[in-house]
Amino acid sequence: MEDKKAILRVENASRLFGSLRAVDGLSFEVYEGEIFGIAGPNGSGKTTLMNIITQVIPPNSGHIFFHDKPIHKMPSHKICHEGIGRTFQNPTVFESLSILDNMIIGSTFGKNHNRLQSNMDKIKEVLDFVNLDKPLDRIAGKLLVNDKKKLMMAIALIAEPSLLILDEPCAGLNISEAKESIELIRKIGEKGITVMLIEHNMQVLMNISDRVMIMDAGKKLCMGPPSHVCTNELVIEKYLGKRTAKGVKDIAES
Amino acid sequence: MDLLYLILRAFIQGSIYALASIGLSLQWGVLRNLNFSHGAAITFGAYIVWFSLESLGFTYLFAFIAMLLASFVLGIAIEWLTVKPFFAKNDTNIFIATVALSSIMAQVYHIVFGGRQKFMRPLVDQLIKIGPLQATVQELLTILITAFTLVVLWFILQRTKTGRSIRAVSQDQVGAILSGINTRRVYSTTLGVATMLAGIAGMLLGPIYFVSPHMGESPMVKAFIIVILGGLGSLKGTVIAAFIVAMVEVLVGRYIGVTWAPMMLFIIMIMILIFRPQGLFGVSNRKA
Amino acid sequence: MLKTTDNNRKLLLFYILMVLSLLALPLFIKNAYIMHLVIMTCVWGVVVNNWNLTLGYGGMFHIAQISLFAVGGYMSGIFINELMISPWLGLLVGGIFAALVSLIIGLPALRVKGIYLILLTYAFHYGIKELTDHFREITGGSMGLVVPRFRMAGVALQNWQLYYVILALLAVSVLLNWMVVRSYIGKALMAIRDSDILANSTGINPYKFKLMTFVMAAFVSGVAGAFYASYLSVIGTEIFSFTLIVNALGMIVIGGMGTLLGPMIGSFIITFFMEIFSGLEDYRPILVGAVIILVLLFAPDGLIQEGNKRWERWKSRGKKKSEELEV
Ligand SMILES: Nc1ncnc2c1ncn2[C@@H]1O[C@H](COP(=O)(O)OP(=O)(O)OP(=O)(O)O)[C@@H](O)[C@H]1O
Ligand SMILES: [Mg+2]
Repeated sequence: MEDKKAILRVENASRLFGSLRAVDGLSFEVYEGEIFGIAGPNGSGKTTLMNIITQVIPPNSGHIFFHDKPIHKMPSHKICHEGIGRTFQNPTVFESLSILDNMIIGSTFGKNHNRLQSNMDKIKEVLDFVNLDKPLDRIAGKLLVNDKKKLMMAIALIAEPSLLILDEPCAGLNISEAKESIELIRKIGEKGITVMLIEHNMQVLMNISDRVMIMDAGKKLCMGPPSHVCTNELVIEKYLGKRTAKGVKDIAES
Repeated sequence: MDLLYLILRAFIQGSIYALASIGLSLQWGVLRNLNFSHGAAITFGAYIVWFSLESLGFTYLFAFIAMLLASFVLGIAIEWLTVKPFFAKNDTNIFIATVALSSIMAQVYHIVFGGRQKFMRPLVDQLIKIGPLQATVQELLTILITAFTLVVLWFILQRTKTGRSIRAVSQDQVGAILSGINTRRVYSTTLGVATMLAGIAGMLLGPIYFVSPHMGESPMVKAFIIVILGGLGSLKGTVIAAFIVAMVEVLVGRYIGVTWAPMMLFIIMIMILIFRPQGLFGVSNRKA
Repeated sequence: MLKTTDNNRKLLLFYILMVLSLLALPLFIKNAYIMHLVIMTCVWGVVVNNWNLTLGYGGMFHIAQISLFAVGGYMSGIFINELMISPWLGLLVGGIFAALVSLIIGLPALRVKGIYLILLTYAFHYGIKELTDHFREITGGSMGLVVPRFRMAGVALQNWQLYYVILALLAVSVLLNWMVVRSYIGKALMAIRDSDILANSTGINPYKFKLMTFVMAAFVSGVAGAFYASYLSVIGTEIFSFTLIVNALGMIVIGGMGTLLGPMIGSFIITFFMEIFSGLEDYRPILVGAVIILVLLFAPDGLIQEGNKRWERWKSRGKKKSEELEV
């Protein structure tokens, strides 16, 4: 692990909302090519962490480096151009526009072109990849949750990010949809894209991630390979509970 | 001594501004929307009081009560017509609907009461002089009534069930729904209360200016500036900002020239937008 | 997908016919007053066309379009009167000043989100009005500013000639809007309108695109304002009346917000509506307001779209029935 290159380095990042320390002096690294899982109780600051990395909400303090380049003072759109793509916890798409327009927007602005990019082959390829098979002229606002999530992922993917941040991609999906989504994330990882994944289901997270970070009250509770994390006393006590811990451990070891 | 007098004037002016803007701020907190018919609601209050006094021969107390009731009903009607159909679906439409409504209301006043300015008699018609300070009793009453209204409002928000649900919704919509609060009811109550506050402002403005179909518009512009300055949704900030705006107006009016006061406010507003968009006392920039 | 070419051809034919009939209009209209109304329709058409670009496509809540229109009119008038420039040059002056002023309010206000823009532009509207009152020696105050009319070779132009001038401006405005909407700028605007956070993290700089569009729309409206002042040969503070804002909003809503041609059709409807019901005087603003609210409630995409939808539904219903019969 030591000789792996860090694609993202977060140093002592904090974000306050009033007196609430949503993210509290957090430091960690994400290595190139890995799937980095994040879990933690509700309100532990996972989404806020994603938001300060992508500058949707600027951090109050701390440094963030992407490919060794400081990005904690960059506006969101520049961060996208640098190669960080993301999805949101609530399925968010450009509601009044067609699937095609959504994709065109992703491929045009994601790489900062100033001419519309409507390469149909590429758009179809990405839509195929996320397995969204609705007509291209369907209005995005009329899609079901699962399809919206796929489209949101496709918009991020068509900009060819080197780091993809996924905020609970399986939340609100049924079991077979969630399975499909997990498969998709695995495929994304196999393409060499680094993935940061927030996921509540520990079984799933332990199964897919190379390393896992557990957050609590804006702080890092524990970080490391799945097998290491699920045997950590603190994690078991504060987050997993004994019974789940055992189940998860079995998965991590298999 | 001149300065002391100016401060008194600013205090009187600020009281009315506070009443005129606090309803807007309350509404912003709960609905995250601005109501363009707020000015027409101010005018409404003035007309109801004037009509009750002059045509129905009510005493001031009854006119006041009649105005409160009518304003509350009006507020509920405004919510039903302009907010309910579009809420959480299309903010632009709420904005346009309230603009259209305010135009309708102003014209209705014009038709019902005529375009002529109406004189509204003050509650007490007397002048008080203490050294260089002078003010009408009505103006002093204005300060008292404002203070009283704000205390009552504070009491309602802190101590009653309705008030608590209003505060709950303005802090966290989803949480409020989850904890079983009937948000629909809260929305209409909020508009009712906001319109009542506007009505009281109208009642106090009546004797100082004249009652006319568009009298509420210029206080509404001030109210917009005030809620930005105070921080949208912050009631405390709104009240303080109301006095700041009044102070600026009075001082600029006295030392630079009356016509420069609006320009000054405009410049202040731009400064605030650039350097502190959440306002002087605002905390939430959740969904501006 | 294939059908669209057929549809496109039909549409093209429709547009050509429309342009031709607009060009031929002065041949049929002999009544001077109707001609005047047609010109006013075009003037408001330009204003709402541009307001719609920023409000309907860009999702920028603001009410500055008429204030900027007024800035164009006043500045052009002041330059013509004080510096003796020709009214034709005044058109440019009006546009430039409107653009400058829009830059001044847009720079701070577009940085923060929606609601502040309404508040700021509303205060701005009143601020400009106060300014015109304040400098009444050069603006004419409530008496209005008298502005020379357009001339060519020393002769004052007639209304049918001026019609072609404003028609050209309208055409430029529509064309410009069309180009913007189709280009990457338009896509960015619509993306921002739908979700500025997603747009921002998809690589769009909302501030840049909004400001660009806001200033461009202001320029064209400013030119229209300059035309208005010289055409009527006077511009007064009633231009700041709230009724005008409501009417213009009505044009956009009735015609269909976020559509290219809708607002102009709205402009036609409202301008002539106000005239047809001129007997009702005081009741007109109430009618306009009520129509706006009713349209928002029952045909939120505007009358044109709604009509279209009904028509399509009616047509397909007929088809379904015939299919059923065949089976
Ligand atoms: N924009 C905001 N304004 C104020 N408070 C916020 C804001 N965003 C988040 N918070 C607060 O910060 C804390 C962390 O929230 P966050 O959404 O990051 O948690 P999370 O770990 O993603 O939770 P979940 O599992 O529910 O998604 C919560 O207490 C939340 O209420
Ligand atoms: Mg979250």
